[in-house]
Amino acid sequence: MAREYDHLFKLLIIGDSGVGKSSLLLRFADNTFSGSYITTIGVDFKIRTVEIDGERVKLQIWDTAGQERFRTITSTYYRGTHGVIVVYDVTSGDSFANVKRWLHEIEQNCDVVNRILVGNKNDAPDRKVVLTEDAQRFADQMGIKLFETSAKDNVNVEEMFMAITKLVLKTKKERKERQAIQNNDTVNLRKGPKQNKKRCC
Amino acid sequence: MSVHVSTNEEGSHIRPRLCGYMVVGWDKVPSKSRWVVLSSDSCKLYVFKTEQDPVPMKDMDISRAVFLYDAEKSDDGRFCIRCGGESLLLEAGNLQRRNYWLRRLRQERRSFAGRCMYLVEHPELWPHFAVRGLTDCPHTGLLSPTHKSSTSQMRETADLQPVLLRHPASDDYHETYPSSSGGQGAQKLTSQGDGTSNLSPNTFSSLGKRIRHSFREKRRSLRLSGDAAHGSNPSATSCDGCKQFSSQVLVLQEDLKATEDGYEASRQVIEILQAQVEVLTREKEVLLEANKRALKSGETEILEILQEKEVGLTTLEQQCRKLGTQVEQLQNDAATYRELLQAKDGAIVELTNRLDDCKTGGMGKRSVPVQTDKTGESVGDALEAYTSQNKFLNEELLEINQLLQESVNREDKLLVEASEWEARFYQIHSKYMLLLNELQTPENSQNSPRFRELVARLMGDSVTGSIPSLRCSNKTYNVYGFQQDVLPSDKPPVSQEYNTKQLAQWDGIVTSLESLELQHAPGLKALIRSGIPYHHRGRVWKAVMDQRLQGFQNYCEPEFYKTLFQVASQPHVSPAAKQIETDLLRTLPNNKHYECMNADGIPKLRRVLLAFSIYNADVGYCQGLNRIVAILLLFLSEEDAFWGLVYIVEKLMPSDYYGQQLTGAQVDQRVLKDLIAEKLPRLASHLADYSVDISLVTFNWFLCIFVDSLPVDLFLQVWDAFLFEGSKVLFRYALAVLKMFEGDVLQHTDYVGILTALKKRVENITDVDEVARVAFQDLNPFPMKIISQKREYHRKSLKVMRKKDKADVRDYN
Repeated sequence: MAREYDHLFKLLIIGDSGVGKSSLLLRFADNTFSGSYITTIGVDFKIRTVEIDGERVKLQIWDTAGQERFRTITSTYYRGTHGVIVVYDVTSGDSFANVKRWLHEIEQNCDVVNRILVGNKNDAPDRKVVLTEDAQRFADQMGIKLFETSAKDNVNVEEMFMAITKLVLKTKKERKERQAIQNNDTVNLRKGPKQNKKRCC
Repeated sequence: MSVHVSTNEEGSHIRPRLCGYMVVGWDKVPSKSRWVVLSSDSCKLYVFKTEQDPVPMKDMDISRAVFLYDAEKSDDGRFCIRCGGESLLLEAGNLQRRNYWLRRLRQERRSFAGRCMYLVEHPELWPHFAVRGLTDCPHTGLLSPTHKSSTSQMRETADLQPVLLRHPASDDYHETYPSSSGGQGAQKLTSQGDGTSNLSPNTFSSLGKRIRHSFREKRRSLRLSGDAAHGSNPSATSCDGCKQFSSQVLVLQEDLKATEDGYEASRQVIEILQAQVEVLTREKEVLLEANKRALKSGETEILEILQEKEVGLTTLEQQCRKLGTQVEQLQNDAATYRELLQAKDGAIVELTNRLDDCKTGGMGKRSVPVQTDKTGESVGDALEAYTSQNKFLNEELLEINQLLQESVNREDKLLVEASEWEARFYQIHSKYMLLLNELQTPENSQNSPRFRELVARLMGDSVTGSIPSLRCSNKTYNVYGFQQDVLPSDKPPVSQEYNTKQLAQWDGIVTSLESLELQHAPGLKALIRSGIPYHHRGRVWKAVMDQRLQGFQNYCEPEFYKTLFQVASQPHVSPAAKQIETDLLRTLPNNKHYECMNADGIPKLRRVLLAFSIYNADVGYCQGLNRIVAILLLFLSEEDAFWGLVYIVEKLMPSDYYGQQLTGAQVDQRVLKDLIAEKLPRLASHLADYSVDISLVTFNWFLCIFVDSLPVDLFLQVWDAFLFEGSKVLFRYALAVLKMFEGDVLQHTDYVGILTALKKRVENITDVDEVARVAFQDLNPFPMKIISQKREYHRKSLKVMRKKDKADVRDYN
């Protein structure tokens, strides 16, 4: 049976409460926006299939609750995740300060995974407190890509999701190539397990 | 006598309940004492076996009833309510009670008609009453202010009587309701007449005064009525016999006065004599004392004197005895005087009656001699009774006429509306006929301009959808304030449907909520499981909470909540304040009470959550609680909603359900998985095959008590049972929902497919009754003991796992 997609990736959106995680997902999956979306309790998910370089990629995107105490149960959500989107609110310094904690959270639950940093609500310059330069510097330090988006005005949302998808796809292909090389080169087979361990969680 | 006046925070009064025990008979002579309650909401009178019985035996629609009573047989306060072919006979006990009941019943009937009229004039309010027709929503929660304007106006018509008749035996009744009937004095006289022998002289003389007064009154009134009715007949006033009798009466009155004076004099004599006796007795005592002393000294001289004295003493004693008999005689005299007085009173009564009879005889049939067997007093009473009956019936007639007029008006308005609809229907009908004709004629292709124009017009009509001539347009909110789909006809509305029997039962329960012991009320559990009617929900929830929170610290402290939120509202007091603020608009954004910062529910929601966050600092604020409070606020006042939250978090849910670790909530997910494996093994293995973690969907259900997971009507029904029975209900419903969609889920063979299918199906459940049936019947047996055991087990294993995780993290670091 022909599959309706070539790849199936699981993405996870994390970040402080109220930074706009659900709004980003809603904008991307349904192209809708509502000023106040109901608080996410536990976890929610949406599906969207995109095409990258002629390949159909089905995305399973998980949206999580931002409140601290829900982290105790989020560990289950990290299982099998290919990419994580860390969101902060450009109008809230606190949410940006917490990004570090969120990145740490990823480290605790996954070994290696593609990450992307997103500054949402980038639609009111007068209320913006997290400067692009600061955020960029931090992202560079961490070695991750930064996107400033607005789910409200639909700015950069599509690009951001495509970027993380491409990252995940690239990682998958690289691994495949590595595996292919390993399969061809029987001598190096023993190196395999160590490399495999470094897969996404 | 108890007073039931409660106020909600808007300060408007809730009408007092009209209830009490009365002897009741249906179409026959009243025989049994029953608890009778009037429900203001439905304007129905319910008859219960006892105050404790939740299910009424019978009911009667007061809104369409007429009230009657028979002046002749009204000593026991009997009256009759007639409606349709039925008549209900009631005995209130006495006239005052009867009059009170009749007055109140009439008021209720009036205000109910007012409400009906108001609804016809304001059809946009109809949806609020749609659940059961014409009801005055009794909630104190957010749902009530939606038609505050209507209720406040309605309430003006109802005279707020703060006093409630409960115990027919209480005699202080007439003190709160001063009698208006003139025959009262005479009535009292007859009742007290038998007990005259026990009366003290004081009351006796005052009684005499009262008798005279009442007779004078009666004579005057009779004369007045006689003059008014037969002013043209001069013979009545110039009757010789009358004059004679009058003078006789005057003479007798003087006699009576003289007798009274004589009596008074003899009473004084008696008093003097009694005083003398007392002096003598005291002297005797002194002498006896002296005697004793003399004996001690032993001197003969003194003995002699003593003997002398003793002789004196005996004579004194004799004197004393004599005086005693005199006193006795005087007392007898007094008694005879009393009898005499009584006899004279009787004579006066008779003479007055004869006088009255003569008068009436002179007016009507002069030739007929005075009727001696029928006393004037009873005639007077009867006259009084008939006058009041006449007055009552006249009023009743007027009232009924007015009601009739109103219902005619109502009918007219509805007819106009109906014809508008009809016109509309024919308009559309003809358009469609035209269109169909166009389609039928072969030569006219679909491209003909007329055809296209017609289709365009019809489409335009259906798109706009609004019917300009009718006022119920652009309604986008349902009764709970939730946004409705633009085209509600797409989906059959999920609504509670109750049969009349159930509604009567609910009315009965609600009218006796305060006195009912809910936990043990027969049949209540089953009734609640099938859902509390919308308009009763707030009251029932409050009553359930009230009974369960008894003994809770600070509960019932009037200012407790107020001070709590005042403290909590100060900046930097609640660490959760920021999160609460962030979540306010994200609580129920699709409900009009919470859709914007100006919405009426938002400030209440904020205060309740802030207050709770410092009341229970261990929990503070957990996302999800906001939804719970929002739902509570729809039906309860702010303070009650706060206590409702306390009740849910601290009493219904296991410990640490919403705490920092969410332990309770996580444990319940594991318990649920166990139960799925037991009750739905096929589903469990299917989920296992595709490694689907069902808690991704069900965690929400439990934490938010299904708010936003199930359709509104269904989750409110879950809430009803949950608040009454506890958290076990959540498992029942979760399993019921899963069981219903087991087949669908089994068809999906991929992770996301399974979860999506489940979520979609659950959000669109329409058969509420079926879910309840599965939850409470198909899933049995469902012992709480098992759930408790599983909870305990998983709590322990979770603890062990956490410890291990912590150790792992330490190792990792």
